[in-house]
Amino acid sequence: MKKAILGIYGILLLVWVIMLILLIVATKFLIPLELPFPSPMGTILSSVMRTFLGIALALAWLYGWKKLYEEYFWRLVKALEKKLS
Amino acid sequence: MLSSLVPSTVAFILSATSTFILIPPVAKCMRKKGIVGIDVHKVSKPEIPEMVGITFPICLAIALLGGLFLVPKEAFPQILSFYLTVLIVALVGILDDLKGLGPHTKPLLTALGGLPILALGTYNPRPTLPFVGVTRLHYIYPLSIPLAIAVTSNAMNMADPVNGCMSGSSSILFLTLALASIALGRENALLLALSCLGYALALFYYNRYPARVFTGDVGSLSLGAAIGAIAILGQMEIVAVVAMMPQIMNAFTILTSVGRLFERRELPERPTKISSDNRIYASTSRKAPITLARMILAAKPMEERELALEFIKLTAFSSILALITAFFMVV
Repeated sequence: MKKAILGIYGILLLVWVIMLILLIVATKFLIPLELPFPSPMGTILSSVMRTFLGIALALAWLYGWKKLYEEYFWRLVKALEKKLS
Repeated sequence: MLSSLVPSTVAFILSATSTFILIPPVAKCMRKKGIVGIDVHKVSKPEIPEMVGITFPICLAIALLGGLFLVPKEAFPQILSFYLTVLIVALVGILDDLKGLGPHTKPLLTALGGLPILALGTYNPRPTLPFVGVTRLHYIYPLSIPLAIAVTSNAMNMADPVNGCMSGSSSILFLTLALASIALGRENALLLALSCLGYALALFYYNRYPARVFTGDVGSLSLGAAIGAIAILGQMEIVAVVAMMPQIMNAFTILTSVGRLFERRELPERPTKISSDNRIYASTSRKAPITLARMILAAKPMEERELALEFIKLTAFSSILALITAFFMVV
C-alpha cells in the first residue's frame, strides 16, 4: 500500500484515539461537575452546563478532525501538482 | 441471544434471496422506462439502469415479515418503527431521483424518517458510551433522532462516488452492526442488521465494478437511514459513528469545502477526472470539493475498481475500530 494512503488510515486512527481520550476526560471531569447551588434550579443549571460543555468538546473534536484532514489533503495535492508539472 | 439467531438468519436468507431475484427484472424495467444513469468513470460512458435501490423497502419487508413470525411480540414496535423509517426515507429518495429535491429540502425531508421512532417511542434516551457508561439525555436524545437519520442517510448518499463503493461499504457497516449487536446482546438490532446485510450483499453483487445497476438516491438514502435507525434502536450510536467515520469525513469535508448545502449538478468543478487509460485522477483545482475519493486519488491515481476497494478497505478499518469501541462499552 502506498505510504500516502496509509496517512488516511492514520487520520482515522488518530481521530478515534482522540475521541476515546475525550470520553475519558468527560468521565473524569465533565460528568462529576456540579454548580455550588444545592437547589433544584442548581441541578438543572448543572445539567445544562454539562450538556453545553459536552457539545463544545464534540465540536472541538470535529474541528480538529477537519483541520487534520484538510491539512493532509492539500499536502497531497501539492505533491501531485509537483509530479504533474 | 441464541434465540434471536434463528429469526435473524431467516431474515438474512430471505433478504439476500429476494434481492438477488428481484434486481434483474427491476433493472430491466428501469431501462425500458428510460431511467438510466451515465457511468461517468468509464471512457465509453455506458448507460446503467438507475433507481434499483427501490427494491430495498420491498426486500426488507419480505425479510422482516419472515423474521417476525419467529420473534416475541415485544419486538414488533421496534421493527415497525425501523421499517417505517426506511420507507419514509426511500420515498424521499424516489422524489429526489425523479424530481430532484433542493439542497435544503432533501436533508429536511430525510429527517422526517426519525418520526416513526419518536412516535412509537422505541428509542432509549440513555445511550451507553465507552468508559462513561450509561448516560441520561432525556431532552436532547429525542431531538437528535431526526438529525441522526438525516446525517446517516445523506452521508451514505454522498459516499457513492464509484461502482460498488456504497453497496460494498454498507455491507461492511451492517456486518459491523450485526457483530456489535451480538457483543452487546441487542437481539432486535441483530435481526434488523442481518436483514439489511442480506440486501446489501446481494446489491453489491450487481453494483460492483463494472456496475450492472445503480442504486439511485432511493438506495443510498434508505440504506443510510437503516444504519442510523439500527444504531438508535440498538443503542449502538457511538459504534455507528466510529464505523461510519469515512462517510462522515467525506460528507463533512465536502460541505465545509463548498461552504453550503448543494446539489451535485450545482458543482462548478468535479473533484475527479478520468484519463483515456481509464485511470481516475484527483482534480488539483481549488474550486472542486474535497471528497474522500479525491483524497485517495491525490495519494495515488487509480482505476475505478481500485478506488472502490480502497474506500471499502477504509470502511473495514473504521469498522474494526468500531468493534473495539463496542468492546469498551461491554467492559
